[in-house]
Amino acid sequence: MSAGATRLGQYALWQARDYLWERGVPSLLVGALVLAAPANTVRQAASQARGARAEADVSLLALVLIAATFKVLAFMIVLLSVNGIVSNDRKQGYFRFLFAKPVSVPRFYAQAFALHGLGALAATAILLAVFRAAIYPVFPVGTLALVALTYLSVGGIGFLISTLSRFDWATLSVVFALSQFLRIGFPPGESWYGRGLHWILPPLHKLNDVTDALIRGGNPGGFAIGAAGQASALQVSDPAFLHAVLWLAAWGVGAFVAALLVLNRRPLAA
Amino acid sequence: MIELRDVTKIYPSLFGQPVRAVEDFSLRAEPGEVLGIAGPNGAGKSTVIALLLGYLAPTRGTVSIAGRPPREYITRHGIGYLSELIAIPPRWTVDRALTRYGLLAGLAGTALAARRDELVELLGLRPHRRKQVRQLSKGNAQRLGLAQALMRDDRVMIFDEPTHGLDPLWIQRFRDLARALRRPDRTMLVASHDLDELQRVADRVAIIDGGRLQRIVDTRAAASAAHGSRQPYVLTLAAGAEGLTAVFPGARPLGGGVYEIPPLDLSALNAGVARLIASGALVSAVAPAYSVLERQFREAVGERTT
Repeated sequence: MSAGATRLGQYALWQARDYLWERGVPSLLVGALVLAAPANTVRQAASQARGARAEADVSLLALVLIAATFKVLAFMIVLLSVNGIVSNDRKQGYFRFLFAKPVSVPRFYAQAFALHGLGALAATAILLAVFRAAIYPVFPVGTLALVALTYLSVGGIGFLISTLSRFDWATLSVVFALSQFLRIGFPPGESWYGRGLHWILPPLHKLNDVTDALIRGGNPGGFAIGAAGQASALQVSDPAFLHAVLWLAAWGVGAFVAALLVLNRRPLAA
Repeated sequence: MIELRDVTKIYPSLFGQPVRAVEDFSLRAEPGEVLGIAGPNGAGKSTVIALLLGYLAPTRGTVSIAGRPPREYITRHGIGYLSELIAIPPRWTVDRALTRYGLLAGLAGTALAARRDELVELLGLRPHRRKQVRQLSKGNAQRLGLAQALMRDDRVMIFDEPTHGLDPLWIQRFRDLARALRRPDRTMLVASHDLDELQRVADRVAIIDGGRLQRIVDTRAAASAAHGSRQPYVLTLAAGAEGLTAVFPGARPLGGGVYEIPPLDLSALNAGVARLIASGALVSAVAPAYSVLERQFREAVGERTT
């Protein structure tokens, strides 16, 4: 390992510190606000529950609400974690001093992306731990898998956009809105171009499909939550679930690699 | 060491004409040399520097440092760089900023702490080391920028407007520092509006205008050559101004006993000053109206202000 890589490894502590103050704390605050209403519902239900059956119902209610909340919250935590990850340094000109030093630009941002992912997971774990300690004793570990998968897929695309655009939040919103619009406007079963778009567009719908299965899969007691019972509901054991996860992961990894190529080829002041 | 060869940089424009920031530009700076870059606003100085750092790619031509593309060289070796815009996250404190940059520069542990402390002392930042960047005055932020550029013992140093925002004391200290940084294996590039500073610091000065290299002035040779040439002078009189126009026809008062004398050669100047003194005038100073570099600059870019 070169000296530069070693020093960059040590710089990870500073990047983690930046994450904590600039993104971690805001993620926790947003998470606390979004979880406040479901937490209140679970607390009230728990206070009225009597008997083993009622306890099981409250447990199920908690899991259902966590799953529903994290469908949105995972997305928000990931957006907070990747927004401006590269573009902020370009917009503010911070790159000028940073990369006059013997530092590889792609390696610097790859490390930041990895650390921000760990930060997103840590923020999620803290929110779940607080929920477990203060509201109701459930800890659906599948939620962490959901955030990890959301980070890899949505975050990977966000990372790529941050290397390309100085207005990544807005660009990412346009990309996602446009892809949803095209997906709805041109369903894959109706035309060849609909099928083409289905493969080309960011697979956000897949994320929706796997959310329930992931949270359910991490908690054996939650078999009936979410979309269970509906024909489209996925189980962790379904081949379609694995397919969806791989599709999402491939998109994320592809976007991440593309981002590194952009960072390697495209001048920062361009 | 540093070379731009036939470089053109065109900024594309979505609407309207593309902007040609630099055109057919060639320049080379050797180890041991301090090369100045001067030019009016919008001349292309900042683009040239961004190209040298690999922050911009040339549309045509090649840029290299020690024979390598800039990013490749910098990723391996780093360079000392002070940008015109001091862009450091405003919440970082002086100490932490230097620690971070030092770490990225390849220093660690006690070596990093020692170098940081040394630079804090050298650049007078001790009273400010716990302050956040946003709390620093322009001059102190500039000195912090300079400190981070000096973290490593780099062989290539690029200073863009290094004395911008500094008070006269620190301007003088920067000049001393620039002299101390000279080394046979080090190439330094200083871009500045301040021609007097470049005259003092640089061996050669590249004058840029309209994105093109107008001329390269060898400051030492030009200073020697200037002794024999006709040029305007500024003369300061403590008393006896009445006889001035008789001795120097066309002399123009600038106020406060200072007069501009039209161009003349050195012997004519000396003869005139002797006559003036003989007539009872008290001469307190005589100096060229413009430095050698200022004259070259005016010739190269016309009478526009910098």
